[in-house]
Amino acid sequence: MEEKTLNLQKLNGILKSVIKISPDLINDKTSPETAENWDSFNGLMLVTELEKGFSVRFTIDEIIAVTCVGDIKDSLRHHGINI
Amino acid sequence: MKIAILSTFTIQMILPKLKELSEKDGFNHEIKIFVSYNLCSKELTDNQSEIYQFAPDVLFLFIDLDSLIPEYLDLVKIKSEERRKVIDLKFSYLLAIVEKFTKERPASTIIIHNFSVPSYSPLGIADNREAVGLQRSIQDLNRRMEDYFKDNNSVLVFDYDGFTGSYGKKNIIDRRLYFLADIKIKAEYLELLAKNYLNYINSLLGKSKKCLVLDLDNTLWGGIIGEDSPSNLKLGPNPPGNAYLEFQKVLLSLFNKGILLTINSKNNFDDAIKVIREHPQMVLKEKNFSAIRINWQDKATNIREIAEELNIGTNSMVFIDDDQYNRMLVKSVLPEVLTVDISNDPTMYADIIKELMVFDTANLTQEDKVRSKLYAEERERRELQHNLSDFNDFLQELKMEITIGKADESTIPRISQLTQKTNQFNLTTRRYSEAEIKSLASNTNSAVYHIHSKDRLGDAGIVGCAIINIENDSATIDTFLISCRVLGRKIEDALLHHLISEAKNRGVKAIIGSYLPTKKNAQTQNFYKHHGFDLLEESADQVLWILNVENYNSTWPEFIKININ
Repeated sequence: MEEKTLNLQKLNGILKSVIKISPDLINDKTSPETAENWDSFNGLMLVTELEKGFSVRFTIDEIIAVTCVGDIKDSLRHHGINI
Repeated sequence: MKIAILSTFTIQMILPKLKELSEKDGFNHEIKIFVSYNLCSKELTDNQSEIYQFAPDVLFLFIDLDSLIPEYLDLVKIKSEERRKVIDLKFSYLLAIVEKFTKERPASTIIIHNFSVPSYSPLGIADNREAVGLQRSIQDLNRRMEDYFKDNNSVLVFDYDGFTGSYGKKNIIDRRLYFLADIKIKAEYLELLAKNYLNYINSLLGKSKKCLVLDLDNTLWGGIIGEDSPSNLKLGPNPPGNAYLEFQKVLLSLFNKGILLTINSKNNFDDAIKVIREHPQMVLKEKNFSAIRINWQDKATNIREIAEELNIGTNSMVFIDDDQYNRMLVKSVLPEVLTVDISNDPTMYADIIKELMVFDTANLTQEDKVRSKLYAEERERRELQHNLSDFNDFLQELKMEITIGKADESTIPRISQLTQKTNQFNLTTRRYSEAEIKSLASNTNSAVYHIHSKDRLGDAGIVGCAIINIENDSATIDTFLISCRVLGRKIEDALLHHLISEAKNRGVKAIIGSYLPTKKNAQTQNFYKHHGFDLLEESADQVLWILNVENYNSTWPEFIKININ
């Protein structure tokens, strides 16, 4: 499978396990406003899991800047992840 | 059990870990987390606060250094003498809130964290050249807490500094999460903290493990007896034998604090015992083992037999075996046994045991420390019993001497422990914390007795206790139990006799004894009947017996020498 698809699956898997959201409902606009379980605490859990999953480390500015799934992808791309 | 955690920062994430781990141990504790932004003062000084409403049996009080001494870095500006005063002040604050809690909830236990000593001081390498450097002032605070609460049965100090030191003070915190959300412990370390907490809970519940069941080949030594000659076994100062040597040393230290060591090995008995007896590098000797099973039976059956021989529950046993098949077998047949997944890396064996955290008790009684020795003596007793045909002759021969006394400061920990641990000869199986025993002992309407036994083979220590509540001319036996180690020596008769005599002296006319049936105490169901009590009331969960004290005219078991304290 293509690298990008794999990474996307990985991201959706992490979102599913932390935010408890079904992958069919995930799109770039998914945000704390639309996902019920995406509170500030789960947001931080998400950081930890994404860092583990993609072997990256976000800066505190990047963490604060994230408002939706699209932002997460941007950040990951910024760290060289093909997604 | 109701468990509260009161912390000065965000620690809610520990809740699911605590639940998961305690459910694995078979418990369904009610756990609540409280976060305080006022140094816990409102939560603990206001007896209407949510904590008191929750009424916890155990409270973990986790005040961290940043909250207690936010001015830590400013301590650099003041002299040693003044630093001491700051610490005095902080210490008296802690004391005040802890004592308020113990006063409001005398039967609860509070476990207070000590403070993680910062690895940084602005004084740098000069810090320890001052009379009281910055780091030293925090160490002093920890020391004072330890000293002050040492003899307080309701307050335990959790060595948080040891915890952070062992995993690394810098590893534990993710500064981004700290600055973003006041999170001071990373998730993976919260899990370890939860494990540490449960070690306390299980110990307070009397659920600590008592016995290690050990495989031999590739566990106590490297190599296989059936395949290698004894001189080729890996055990000694050179690698990899030194890893096994270290493992044995750790096991011996557990033996010396009272944990029973037993052997469960598939081998020819003669070959294996020869190694234990004769291998010059063996740290563990035959006399360190309370039970030995070296045979070709399956290991689960052996574990059951060992439990029966030692009169302990399989749920108090820990099984160590390098062989995955044996571990799987024991896990599926005896899930209540703690089967430890040791890898095939002997260099980690010692550390795995050290990190198990299942053998702890909050207070080690004298009985605990010599328990493993007592079991060896017990084996001698069994042999003696075989040699003497008549049981009474055997008891005569033992030259038993028992002492009965009332609970006091020095005996309360052991009495509480007996109520927690005794299952078989226990009429009511009521569990009491040390604080509860203490309050019963000081109540004029109740009396708490303990019984101490020794004989020519050794001193067994305190082996039983009884609690009786007296109101005017009637009395109720709340608790009556004898450690299974000494059962069948009429010690129980002596204790009951004393209880009745004392009650009689206080003008009691009728004594009620209750039997609360459990899965394990069936042997006590007719105890009162055999001692002249009449049946008063019987239902599925309780049988009440009554004794008309006037009619009681039994005497002491004559072959026992009895001292009354």
